[in-house]
Amino acid sequence: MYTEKKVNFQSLQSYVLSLGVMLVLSALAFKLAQKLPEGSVLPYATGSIVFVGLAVYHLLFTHSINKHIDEAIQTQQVWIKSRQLNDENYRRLQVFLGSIPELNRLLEAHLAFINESTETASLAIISKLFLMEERVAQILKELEGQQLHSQSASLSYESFVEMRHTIIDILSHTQFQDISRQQIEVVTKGLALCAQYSDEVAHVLDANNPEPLATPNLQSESMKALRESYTMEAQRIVHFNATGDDSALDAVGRPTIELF
Amino acid sequence: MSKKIFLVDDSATMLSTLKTSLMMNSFEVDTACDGVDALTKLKAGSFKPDLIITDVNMPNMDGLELVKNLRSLPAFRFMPILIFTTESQAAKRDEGKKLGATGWLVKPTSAPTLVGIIKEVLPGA
Repeated sequence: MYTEKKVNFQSLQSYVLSLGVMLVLSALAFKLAQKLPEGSVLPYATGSIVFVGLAVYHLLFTHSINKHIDEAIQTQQVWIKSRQLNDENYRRLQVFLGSIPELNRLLEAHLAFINESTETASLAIISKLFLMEERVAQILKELEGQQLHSQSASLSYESFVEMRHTIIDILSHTQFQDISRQQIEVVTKGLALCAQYSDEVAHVLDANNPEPLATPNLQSESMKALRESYTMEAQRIVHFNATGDDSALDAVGRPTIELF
Repeated sequence: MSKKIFLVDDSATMLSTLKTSLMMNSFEVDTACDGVDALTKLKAGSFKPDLIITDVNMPNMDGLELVKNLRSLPAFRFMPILIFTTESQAAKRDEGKKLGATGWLVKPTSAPTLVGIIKEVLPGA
C-alpha cells in the first residue's frame, strides 16, 4: 500500500512542480532573450542553471519524501506485529477471563458444601453427645433403683460428662468454620476484582488502542477495595507481606480481648 | 439463679456450639441469627438477658447497628453487651466502644476464656 503511494505521489508531485517551474522559467528566458543582443549565451546559461537547480530540488525533495514514507512503512510493520501480539494476548486473556467466573462458582459451591457439612457434623456430634449422656444417666438411675449402683458406674458417668465437655470445648474453641468461610469469601472477592481488572485491559486491547489503560488507577483501586474487605488481622498481615502496604496493619498489636 | 445470656450470630454452628458451652456452665441461653431478629426478640421481652453477646458482620443488621439500637432503648441502656467477632479493624473496634459496647473479643476464643470474661462482666455469675 505504501509502496504504491510512494510511486504515485512521487510521480505526480514531481511532474506538476517541474512542469510549472519549467513553463515559468521558459517564459522568462524567452522575454530575456528578446531583450539581449543576438548570439548572447545568457539565456542558455540561465536555462541550464534552472534545470540543474530543478533536478537538485527534485532529488532532495524526493529523498525527503521517501524517507518519511520508509518510516511510515516501518511504523506500519511494527504496528502489524504488535497487533498480532495483541490478538494473541487478547485470545489468552479471554481464556483466562472465562475461567475466573467458573473458579468463583466452584469456590462458592465448595464453600456452601463445607458450611453445610460442618454445620451438620457439629450439630450431629453435639446432639449425639447429649443423647449418650441422657442414656448413661438413665442407666445409672436404673442401677440405683435396682440397688446395683456402684462407684465404678458413677466414675464412668463422670468421665463421660468430662469427655463431652472437652469435645464441645474443642468445637467452640476452633470456630474454624466461621473463619474459613470468611477467608474463602475474601478469596472470591479478590478473584472478582481480578476479573474486573482483566476485563478493562481486554477492552483496551479490543479497541486496538495503543494508549495506556483508560483507568490507570484500577489496579490500586482494586487492591484498596480488597484491603478494605478484610476483617481479620491475619488477612492484613498477608496483604502487607505480599504488597508492602502497611496501611492495612492498623489493628496489629491490639489485644484480642478488650473490656472498655 | 442462673444468669441469662442472649447470643447473636449469623452462623448456626457458632450459635449451637456457644450455646452448648454456656449451658454446660449453667447459663440460660437464647439466640438470634442477625441484628433484626435479635432486636425483635429482645423487644418482645419473653427472654430478659443479663448479657448480650453479638457478632459484627451479619446480614440485615450488623452488630454495631444492633448495639446502637439497643442503647437507645431504656431497658438495654446499661446492659453489658460484648462484641464477639473475627473483625479486628481498629476503626470498627473504636466505633463499637463509642456506641457503648462493653467489650471486644476477637475470634477464635476458647469457651473457658469466654466464660471467664462473662464472669468478669457479670459479677455473681
